[in-house]
Amino acid sequence: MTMVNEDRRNVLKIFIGSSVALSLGALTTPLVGSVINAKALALKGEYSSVEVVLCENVDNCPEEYSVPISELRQGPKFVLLKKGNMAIPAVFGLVKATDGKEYPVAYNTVCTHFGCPVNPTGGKYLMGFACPCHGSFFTICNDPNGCPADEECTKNPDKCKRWPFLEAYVSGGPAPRSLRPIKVVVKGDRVYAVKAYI
Amino acid sequence: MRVFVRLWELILERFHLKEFLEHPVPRYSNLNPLYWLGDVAAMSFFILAITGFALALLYTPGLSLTKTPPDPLLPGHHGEELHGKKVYDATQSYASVYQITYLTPLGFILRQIHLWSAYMMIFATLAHFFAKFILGSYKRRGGGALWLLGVLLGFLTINQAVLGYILPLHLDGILAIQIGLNLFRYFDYFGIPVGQLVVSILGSAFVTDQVIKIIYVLHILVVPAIILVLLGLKINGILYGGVAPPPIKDEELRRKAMEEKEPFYPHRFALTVGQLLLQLSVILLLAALTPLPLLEPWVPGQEIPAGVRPPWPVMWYYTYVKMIDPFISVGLPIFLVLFALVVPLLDRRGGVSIEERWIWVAIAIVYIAIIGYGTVLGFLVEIPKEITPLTRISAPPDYAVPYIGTPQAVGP
Repeated sequence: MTMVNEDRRNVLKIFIGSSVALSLGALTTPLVGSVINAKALALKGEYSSVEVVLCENVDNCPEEYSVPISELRQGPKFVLLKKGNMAIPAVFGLVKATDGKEYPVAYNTVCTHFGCPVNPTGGKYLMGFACPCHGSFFTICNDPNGCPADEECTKNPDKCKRWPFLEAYVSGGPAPRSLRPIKVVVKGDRVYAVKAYI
Repeated sequence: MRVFVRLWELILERFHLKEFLEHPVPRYSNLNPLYWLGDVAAMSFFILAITGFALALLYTPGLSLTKTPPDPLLPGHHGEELHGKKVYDATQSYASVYQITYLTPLGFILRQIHLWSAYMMIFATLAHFFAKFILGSYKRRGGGALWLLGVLLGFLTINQAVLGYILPLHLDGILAIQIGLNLFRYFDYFGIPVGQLVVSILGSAFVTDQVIKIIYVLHILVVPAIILVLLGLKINGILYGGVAPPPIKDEELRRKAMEEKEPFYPHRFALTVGQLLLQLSVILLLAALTPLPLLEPWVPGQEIPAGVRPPWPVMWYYTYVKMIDPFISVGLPIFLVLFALVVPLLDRRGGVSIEERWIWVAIAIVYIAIIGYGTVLGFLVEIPKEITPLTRISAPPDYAVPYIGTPQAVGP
């Protein structure tokens, strides 16, 4: 019977040893990864997003990636941008900026919290997006000089962090980052999506 | 007649089924309901496999748009008129499930049995997990390995439920798949590109024909195959290794209880068959009293009403995800699974009776309470931001992708 006990002890040793090794690895890998990669990736500003080029040049961009401006004047429009096997849900719209001009914009409508499709808000002009799942709210910055990002801006308007113009920043709810934008270019009377982040 | 009896005896002899049918089962495990729950989960799996086979033949995945009449079980739909009948735009997947449910003979009851046995399997799996946690079944020789298999099977069961929930591509299914596709992106924030790997394997971060085909194959082939293999290993382990010892402190009494055995056939066999019949009647009763509707259809770009809730097996996760910072709450299931995996390594001293290991019984109750509290809260209240126990960590500014185009004005 001592044989059996020896076996049991060895099995337990291997079990505990591999568990400790695995958990150490599982703990240190993200730590090391975050120390090494985080800054390099963050500098590029593309953290956790993949860049998708829809068309290299707006002149040979297919019509299916575009919306007429006259249609956007009626309100935001949903377009499913398809490239190969990929589908990118996009909402095109016009933003009325504080300088009185209208700017065409497009956003990838996948919520940055958990990935639900977000609903556009505002009437004729696009103002933001609301997520139906966990209640995140994204507001589009409509001030060409940038929008205040935190409460310090009321005290010290010059030095605080500001969201860039047309950024769909998180103004409520659990989402960790801004909605992924889609680069649009105006050609003639149509707005073309040329580059997207998914 | 004698030929058949001879044939039956031959089968029993040649396939060594007699050894299986006569293998000794401890009497206490036939009397204690805590030892019956695993059978319920396993039997549910076989009901699901049989009904699932028929459903898989009838179902066609796809995202192309078709016209579908409204769900008769779900009043208050708005749709457009076509030839004097109300119709909706819906995906091929939805139209296919509609066809199965309302236009195929026996399709309705087939789908109801499949759904209710799926819910029963999840409930039985959870109940079985807590029963074995309280009994400390991992303390016997070979019990730890079976516990490990059980945790993996439970994880796969929940996965299978979510995959199946996606397939009709109704409003809630689409939210489930979008969450599934984007959940892994939180790894990317820590520098491990798991989310990008998932996106590159599937080819899209949004549902496409390709993605739904992969989900279909995973649901009907890959995950059930893994479950079947693990279940076979587990049954083999129980067959030769025995079940958990009874929770009796007195050593003399415990040994006596363990020595008292009955043959599998007819004692345990009758119990299992009775259990299966009871289970089938409960499923049929539930299907008759509360038939589960096919939920609202969804098409890409459709506005989704606020306040949508997930089905009950993942409701607790929804609650915590909504009220706790995503960088903490997203890992809650991983934490719960990892904790379940290391329990056999932590709880090693003492006997198996409740007086000797009350602290672990308390931990098991806390574990079930975390899931139960989240489930109940998710159904009861719309969670306001104020009651969050942990405040939201605001994301560092570097995480934001600045608006990438040069803004072009088009207006006056």
